[in-house]
Amino acid sequence: MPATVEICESNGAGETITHNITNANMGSVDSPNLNPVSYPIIAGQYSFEKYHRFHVTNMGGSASVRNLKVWMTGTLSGSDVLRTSATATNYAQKTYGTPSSSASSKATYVIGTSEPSGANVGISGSLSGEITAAGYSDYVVFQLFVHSSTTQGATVTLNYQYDEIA
Amino acid sequence: MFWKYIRPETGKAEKVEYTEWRWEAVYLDGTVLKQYDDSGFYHQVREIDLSKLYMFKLVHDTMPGVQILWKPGRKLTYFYRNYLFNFGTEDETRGRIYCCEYQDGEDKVLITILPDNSVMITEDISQIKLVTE
Repeated sequence: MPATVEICESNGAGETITHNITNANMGSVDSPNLNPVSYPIIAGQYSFEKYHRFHVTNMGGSASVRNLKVWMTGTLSGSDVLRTSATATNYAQKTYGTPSSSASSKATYVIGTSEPSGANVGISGSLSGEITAAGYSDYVVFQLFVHSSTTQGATVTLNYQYDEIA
Repeated sequence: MFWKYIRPETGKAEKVEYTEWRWEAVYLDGTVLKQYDDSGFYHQVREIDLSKLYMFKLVHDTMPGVQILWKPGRKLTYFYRNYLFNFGTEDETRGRIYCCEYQDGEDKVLITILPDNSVMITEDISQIKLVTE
């Protein structure tokens, strides 16, 4: 591979970073790589926020990494909503905060269900930013709201994409 | 197998893995600058002297390549579109589209090599939709 890019998650008050996470499951605990069956979200409540970042661990000869995108595939149950801080318009960089299971003030956009036309995750506060040495993107925050009427959850998946100038 | 890239900004050497598709720049005088040169060094596309370019090629070890006869004044961008679909599931898919874009004035042409090694030409990369649904 040219550039090596992983997805990292940050958790806890002191920000513990887990590198190369293996899933993005939402749950009722602030931990990475969750088994959602073990940490279900009660109907009418929110999941803990998830803070993800693209992390370039090695540029592998490439000039830059840019044009970061994230979107969802699938359909949630009933009136459940997955919100995010990722947006291609009116983008604002989010700082890390201890993940909360109260309504997020950072994950405020309903996540898109198709590839956005432009970047929706920033780098150094800008959607047109670039990573030119090993380092991180901005945080992208997610939170799932499970509606009070939901009796059974659904499975949706996240998609990540980035461009790399060779 | 690794090639070596000396990053000008840092002076440090980086190991670069071979990619399935690579570019080669054929100059008007017949010399060739290869992305992965025969001496074990890697080159970025910004090192190409476009004023002396005759042909820009995309090459593969076994597939027929793509050859673009060059026109003076064109701009060239070469990039990989990397994707990670259905993250963390049994259907997780990682891949890369090789993208070569040249621009004549206001007109852009994007030549892409898809994961199945087919070639798609477009003016707008957003028209290329790899299935995630």
